[in-house]
Amino acid sequence: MLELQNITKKFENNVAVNNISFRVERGKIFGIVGRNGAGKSTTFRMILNILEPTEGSCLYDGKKIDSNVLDRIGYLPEEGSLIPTYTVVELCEYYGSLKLLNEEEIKENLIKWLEEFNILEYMNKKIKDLSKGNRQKIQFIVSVLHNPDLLILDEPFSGLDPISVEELKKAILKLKEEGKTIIFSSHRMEHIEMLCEDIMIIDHGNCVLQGNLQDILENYEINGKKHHSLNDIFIDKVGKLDE
Amino acid sequence: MNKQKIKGIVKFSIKQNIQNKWFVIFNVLLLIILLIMSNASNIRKFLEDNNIELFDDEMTIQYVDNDNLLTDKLQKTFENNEKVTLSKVDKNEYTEENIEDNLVILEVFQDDVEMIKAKITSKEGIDGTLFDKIINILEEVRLEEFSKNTNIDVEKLELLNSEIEVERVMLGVNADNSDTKQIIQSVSTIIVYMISIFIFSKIANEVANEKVSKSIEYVLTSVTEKEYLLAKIISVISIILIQAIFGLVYYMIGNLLNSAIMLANGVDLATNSEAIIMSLDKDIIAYICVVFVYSLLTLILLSIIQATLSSKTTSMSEAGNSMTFLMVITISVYMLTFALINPYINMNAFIYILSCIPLISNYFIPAIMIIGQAKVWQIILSLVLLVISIPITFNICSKIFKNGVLDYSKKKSKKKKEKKELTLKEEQNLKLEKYKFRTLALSIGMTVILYFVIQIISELIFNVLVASMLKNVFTDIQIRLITMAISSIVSLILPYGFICLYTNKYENKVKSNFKENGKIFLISVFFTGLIQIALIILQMVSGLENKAVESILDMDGLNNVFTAVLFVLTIAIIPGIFEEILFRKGLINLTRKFGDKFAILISSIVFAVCHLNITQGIFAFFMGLILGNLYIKTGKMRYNMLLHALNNSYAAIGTILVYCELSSAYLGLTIFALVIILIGGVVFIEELIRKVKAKEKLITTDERILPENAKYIFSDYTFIIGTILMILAFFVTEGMLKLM
Repeated sequence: MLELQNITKKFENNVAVNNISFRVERGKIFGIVGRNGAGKSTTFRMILNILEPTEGSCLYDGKKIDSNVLDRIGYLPEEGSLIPTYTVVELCEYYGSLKLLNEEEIKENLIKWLEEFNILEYMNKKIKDLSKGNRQKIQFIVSVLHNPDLLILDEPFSGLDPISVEELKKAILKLKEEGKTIIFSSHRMEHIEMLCEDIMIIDHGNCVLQGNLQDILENYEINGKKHHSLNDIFIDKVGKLDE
Repeated sequence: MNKQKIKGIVKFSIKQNIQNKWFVIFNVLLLIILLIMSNASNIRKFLEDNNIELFDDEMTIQYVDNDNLLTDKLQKTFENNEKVTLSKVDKNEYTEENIEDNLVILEVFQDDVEMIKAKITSKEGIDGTLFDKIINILEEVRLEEFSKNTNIDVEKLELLNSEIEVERVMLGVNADNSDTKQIIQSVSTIIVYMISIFIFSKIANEVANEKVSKSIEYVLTSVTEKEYLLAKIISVISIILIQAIFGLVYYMIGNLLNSAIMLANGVDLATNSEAIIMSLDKDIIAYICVVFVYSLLTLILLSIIQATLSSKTTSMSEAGNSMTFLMVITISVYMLTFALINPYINMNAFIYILSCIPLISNYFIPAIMIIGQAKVWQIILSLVLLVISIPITFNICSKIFKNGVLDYSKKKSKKKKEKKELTLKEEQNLKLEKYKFRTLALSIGMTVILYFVIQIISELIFNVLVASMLKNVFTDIQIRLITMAISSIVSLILPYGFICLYTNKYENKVKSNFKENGKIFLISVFFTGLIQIALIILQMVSGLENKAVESILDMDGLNNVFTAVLFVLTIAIIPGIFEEILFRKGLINLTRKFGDKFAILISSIVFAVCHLNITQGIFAFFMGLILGNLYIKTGKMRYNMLLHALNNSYAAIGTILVYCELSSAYLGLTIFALVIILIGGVVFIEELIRKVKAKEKLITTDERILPENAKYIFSDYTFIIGTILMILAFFVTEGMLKLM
């Protein structure tokens, strides 16, 4: 179980994340929604220990997140982390070794996942020769290669065609059934609505709406009416803040 | 730290580097080179046996020896040499056109003072050993002639030629084997330098590559920055060690091959190997170990620093630049070693302290060991410091590395002081103003620098060129004047061209009215006259001589008409025209947009400074004000050019007249000048009265002299450099003038 308590991050000129708290139980999918530059990636970076929070703490299963815990966390960065000159196999060997997998395990898992996405033929291709969508798939595979308990996906669906979106969705749901905890961020509401149980809307570093997705969809009122789509709720909530 | 993860990264990195086609190519080449080098003698023998001539070294020596001084010796020296043919001739008949290749003509004759003199003619250079042999023969012949002449034995004469034998004992130091050690040190320095370049470039490239592809952010979610840094360094050092081992293996293969071939040819090997082992005594082995240990530790330290520097780069091209810093440091320390550590300098506390500092000790300690002055405590202390510095640097640098590698912004913002909150618009305006002033400072600074530099260069060039071309046509003075004239023109026009790049066309709003302009001109003449008179009075009162002006005007030959004309041209006309073009037209148009008064002020300051000495400078400043004002008020160049030329002509023509001892003419000239000044004075007073009557303001005060934000001129670096250069030039010129 992942828990963030009053996480704040201040940079020299601005406050990127302001007093965010949430909790994700095991086997649940948590969605973070926000505009570009709202603070989603910064929050993730703080969970992953890349950035130190100015205030607050992140706990996983009640313990502070250190390098042992990080070995059980998988991360899909928003801007990608693929080295163009490596082949898919080489890249997975490199990243896999960082998570303490040996060569056989890496190859096995890689093949399994490539088959899952129907791109087995790309095993020995160089990253720079892949299309964006395929690269995104490889990026996802890298993040789950070591069978992590917690998965943090930053805009995992970007660049994917509808079929690939379905494949990825299937994979995420399968992982959820295996008991993995998943957090992902997006600014495409349909993806959030597809998969999440709880969500949080974040804008300018502040949490503006948080809770169970179904509850929100049923009970959020705009102009006296309920049962809006998440898209409308988002525009309504965030648009109001701009005024 | 997690050893397995580090091992994983290291293994992966080594695999990547070795399974690389460039690594393979490099090793193949290295193998070939080392094989050739260790079998050089065999290859040469092979070529000889098969009569393959690589070098065409047959020579014919024709010698002219009418006094029969060296015929016997020549024949004796070269009788068994198949490659050299001797032939005696009567004289040297060869010229540039018909001399052949591989031909040496040796002429020897007796001489009263030198005993013998010799001349060796050939088409190109000749083989060193051959030349030495000929010189030896000539030396022998000379000694013999001396001996005959003075009746002293040849052996005693040879003693005169040789150096005195001195037994040198240094009881306090151990300077054994210093030659071998010197060789080892030089070779190892070059090798270490090449290795360090390799390390820097590899680390810089890899770190920058991973930073640009954002993979390092991902990597740092799985390993700490310390583990990553350590792994990088270990992998780079490992690659070098692997490469070194490969190199050694190639060398051994080469040697084995060499021995095998020599055995096959029946050469005795035993003596060879003994000789090699003998030469490596304990002292040298210890020295090699010291050099190796220091080099290795220093390379590790440098790798840590390089990785940290690379983490601050934001692109691949910057990665290359990040290497230069450490390379410069390495070379500087190497040069410092040469300068400070040699047998001619006494070791002092300063050098001892320096030699204990990491990054310096790896050069200093071996060098001190060569001159035999290394103390044991020194070596231990510097080694300990070097070893401690590695983990300390590692800890500090890993923090910087982590911050740097996750920071993609180009520039680090420094701590801002509490500034007044500016609105966005104000900030933009301020930026624009700063930019304008920066450009101004740049152009002015560059102009001044250009002026001086071009002047120096053109003086040098034209002195040589003009002098050589016109030497037979003109006298020295005339050539000097021509050179001065050309240099002045060039050094004034080129900066003007430079300024034009920065100047927008200025629309001249002044209506030209000849009468008005004439009045202003005459008033300016009046003021110029005042200043000149003031200067003369000042000089008479204080006894200061205007050395600068005197040195220019101190010339001979002014009674020659042509010289006189040149003189006036160079001193008066050309400066009058071209200095005005640069200092008034150029500088004023450049700075005019900040205000007319500001423009005049700046151009006068620059004009003053460019004269490079105080007496001329002050005068030039006031002249600059007058001339600038003249240009702006009239809007035309002709008036200030005329005034400037007139002013200089007075001095020039006056000098000529004095030189030709035409003092009455000189008096006439002075009176003429005074009359014009007086006329100017009258016009001035008229204008003054008229303005007072019309209650016009005498001096317009509506315009600021210094525009706002002018402080930004002074903060620009070219301005500062230009100022420093000018101050230096100032002192140099003043000093030179004092000496004359």
